[in-house]
Amino acid sequence: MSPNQFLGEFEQMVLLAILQRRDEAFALEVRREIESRAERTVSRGAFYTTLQRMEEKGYVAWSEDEPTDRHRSGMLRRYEVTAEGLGALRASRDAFRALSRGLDDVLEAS
Amino acid sequence: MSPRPPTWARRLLAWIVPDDGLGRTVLADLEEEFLSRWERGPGGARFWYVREALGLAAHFGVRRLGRGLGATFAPGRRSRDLGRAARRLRRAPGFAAVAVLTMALGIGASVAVFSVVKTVLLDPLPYEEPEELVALFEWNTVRDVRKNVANPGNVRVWEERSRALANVSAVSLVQPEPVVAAGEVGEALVVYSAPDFFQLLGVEAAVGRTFRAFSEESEGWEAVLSDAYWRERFSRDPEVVGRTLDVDGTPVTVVGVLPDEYVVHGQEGDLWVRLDLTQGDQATSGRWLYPVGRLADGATVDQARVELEAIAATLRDEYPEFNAGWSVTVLPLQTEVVGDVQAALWLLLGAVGLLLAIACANVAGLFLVRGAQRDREMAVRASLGASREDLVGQLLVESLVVSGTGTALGVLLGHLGTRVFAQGVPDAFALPRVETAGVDPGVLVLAAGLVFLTGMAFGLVPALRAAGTDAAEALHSGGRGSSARGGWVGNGLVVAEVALSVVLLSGAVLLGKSFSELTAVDPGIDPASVVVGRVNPTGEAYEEDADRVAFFETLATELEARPGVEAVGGITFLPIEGWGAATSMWPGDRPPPEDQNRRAADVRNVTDGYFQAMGLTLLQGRSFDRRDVPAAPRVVVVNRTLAERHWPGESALGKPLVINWDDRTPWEIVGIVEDVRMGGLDTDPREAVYLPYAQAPFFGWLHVAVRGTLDAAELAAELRNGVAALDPGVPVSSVEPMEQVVSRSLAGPRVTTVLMGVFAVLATTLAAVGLYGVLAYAVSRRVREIGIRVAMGATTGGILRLVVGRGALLIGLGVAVGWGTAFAGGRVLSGLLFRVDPADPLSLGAAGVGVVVVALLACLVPALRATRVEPLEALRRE
Repeated sequence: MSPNQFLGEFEQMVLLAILQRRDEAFALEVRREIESRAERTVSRGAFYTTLQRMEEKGYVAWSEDEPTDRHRSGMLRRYEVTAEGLGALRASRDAFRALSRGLDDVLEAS
Repeated sequence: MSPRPPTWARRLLAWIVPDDGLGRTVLADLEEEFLSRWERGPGGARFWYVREALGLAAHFGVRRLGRGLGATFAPGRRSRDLGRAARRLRRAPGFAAVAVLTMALGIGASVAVFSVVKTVLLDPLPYEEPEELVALFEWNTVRDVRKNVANPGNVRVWEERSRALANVSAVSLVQPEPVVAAGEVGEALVVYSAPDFFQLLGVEAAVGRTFRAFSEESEGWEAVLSDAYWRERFSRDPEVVGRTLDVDGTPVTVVGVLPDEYVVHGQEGDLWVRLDLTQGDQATSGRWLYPVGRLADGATVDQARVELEAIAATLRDEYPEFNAGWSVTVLPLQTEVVGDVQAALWLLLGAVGLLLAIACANVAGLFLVRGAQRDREMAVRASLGASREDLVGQLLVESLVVSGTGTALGVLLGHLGTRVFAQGVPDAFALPRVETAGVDPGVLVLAAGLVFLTGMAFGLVPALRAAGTDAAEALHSGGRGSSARGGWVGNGLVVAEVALSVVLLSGAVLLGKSFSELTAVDPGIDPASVVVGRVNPTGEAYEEDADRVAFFETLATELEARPGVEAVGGITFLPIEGWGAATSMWPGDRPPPEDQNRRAADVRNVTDGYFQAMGLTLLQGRSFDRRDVPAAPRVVVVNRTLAERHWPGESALGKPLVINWDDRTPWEIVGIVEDVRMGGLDTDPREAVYLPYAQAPFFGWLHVAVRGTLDAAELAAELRNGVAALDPGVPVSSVEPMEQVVSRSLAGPRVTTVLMGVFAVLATTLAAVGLYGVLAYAVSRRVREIGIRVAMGATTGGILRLVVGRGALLIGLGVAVGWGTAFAGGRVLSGLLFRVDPADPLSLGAAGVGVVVVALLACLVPALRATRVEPLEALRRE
């Protein structure tokens, strides 16, 4: 990735949630993960759009799994974070750390 | 019940989400969650699904729209599409031309008419708090003249006793007066005005000031000029204020100029002269004022009306001689100023509304047809890898080119139309303020936007169909179902268009019939070969009645001696024009009737040559001649209606007639003439009395009619030269052929009729185009079926019947609906129709037949195309 491209807050949350789910990172599980851990509701549309955008950037990849119910038409996607995705995540975390160094008091206090 | 989410929500979502893996995942995930919720309760799960689906649809819909627009207007790609679109449209010039014209006409007509209607009817009058202003009239209940000018004494009583009206003021009838301005002798139309008239309206002068109340410092004669008179006579010289004009021998100081946008109340004038109008009384001064009132705080028009009617009732008791049979009319000033044209304008507005609706329906239909013809092309392109954005983009550009051109042309037409309306129609319609009408931006945006969006929306249908998702595909390949559904829209459009055309055409036919009835009315005069002009001998030389009588007699004698002139005569107020003097009268051989039972009649003072010059038919007795001098017995000529009403079953000749405006010595009836439509061709003949000018020279001016074998311009020159030869100081004005006067009274109906006719023809043409479109669409969808039918031995006639039959069904339905609507809506027209029933079966029938014929012709084209379908070709196409 180009170093001046940082991830947005929501993108970071999606990547982290995928990593948290490990092998069980089906899209709907990922969304639930964010909702439960971050204690916020996640717009379905924004979520899928973000997934697609990060797929286009090469941060995530997916494979398809059979659905649980054979009446079902579509496929479920299992997501994983790519090496580029991990790199971007790290870069964003480093940048955040560098910026917040020495501000622990302030941040703690707030 | 199997756990399935609501089908429609699923289809909607499938149609909107991106047509790729992600879209499928979104659907699958949603369904997965739906299933887990289903176990907890089907109802809740379905509700949840619909909510989520709608949210997602909105999200992806907005994104798609944004991307589509972004892609469309990305420069490089779109310029390629633009070139392609232009090429494609060149190959389908018929479609492009018809679509562009349809849009332009729909927009142009509606913008023009609406802009005018808004200026005239909807914009508030340029007065202070115009909604508080009321126009007041006296109402002659016996003759049913609701808007008669008022008596100064009565007006004063209204103001004194009314609580609902804070103020009442008035202006006089217009008076042609000789005016010397800037050294030039001419005639000007003078209106006498109460000092507080303009203050009451809240009109400020554009230059100088308006009138002030009479006081010790301000007691002389003052005048304010109209903008037009200031422009024509003084070239907009601001120094005119303070100058003195000579009005009929009286010096009058100009104190101001009225603003250009001043809306005249009463009659149009060149200058307003301040006059103390409180002097007149009920006994002597007649009726000659146009009063206006301003409502007191919190009072309503209805309160004022009730109150003034009560005051009028007491005035009847107090002055039975003068006021018997008179009540009062109170109208909002806006209603009064807009007047009679209101009904016609609303009608035209309704008509263009329908036209706009038809135009939109048509544009939709045209694009649908074109789209249908291109389904295949779209499908091929999609299968070759064109993305949905490509297809949508291309069609978007094409629709943009067509809709943009059509809209631009429409806007142009709207501008032109408004200008034509504003400048060409005022003479005909007497529309107040119409000259100020400009295109209204609101309506322009509305009409243009409506048509433009219709074009864009329907232009995109084929792209969406071609690049549809699974669900859309399913919807599509439902085959019969989908085409039936798509067809339903088209059929509905056609039925609506045909119905609207029938409504418009019915209106046009009814108005046309009414107009021909009007022109067939015998005016009672023979206006051909007659020129009229107002001759106004005033000043010291004509102060004595005998001097004016002599002047007109000499003028007639001199003119009649000229070759090519046959007869010359004068009258105080021209017939057909609609206004003039009237008073009550009764037979002198019987006891006078009770005050409230008196009948009024028009009174016209004429010189002896008048009947011959104007071509009135003398039924009995004689007309006036030079025997009828002041010293001779007083004689009158009456019209047929008066004679028959007062002396039914016997001859009125030789009978005495009392006229209630002088000493009541009876006049002897010496002649009876045919009725003349004094109030216009659409009015019934009224009772009328003609007095010999020599015995009753009450008015200073006369309209002199010159009949002859010369053409109109030569007759006019004879009149002017004849007057100038006698006295070059006597002004001659308003010279015109009498036929023009008659024609002017038809101008309003003529404009309405012509415009309705134009709209109706446009509507029918558009409906035919729409019908053609829908049938052509149907045929193109059924080529395979038709091919099979032909292969199996269907005859040409059979195929024709197949296609035309379907068209005929739609036409029939449309005509039925249209007739119903026209029948029910006929009431709207009734005020505009003359001697024609709004439900006239012949007219409605003719309109229906007209639409049917045109529509069937439109069916024939696709039907004939269907008969030429080659079976093999058709089968190979799939």
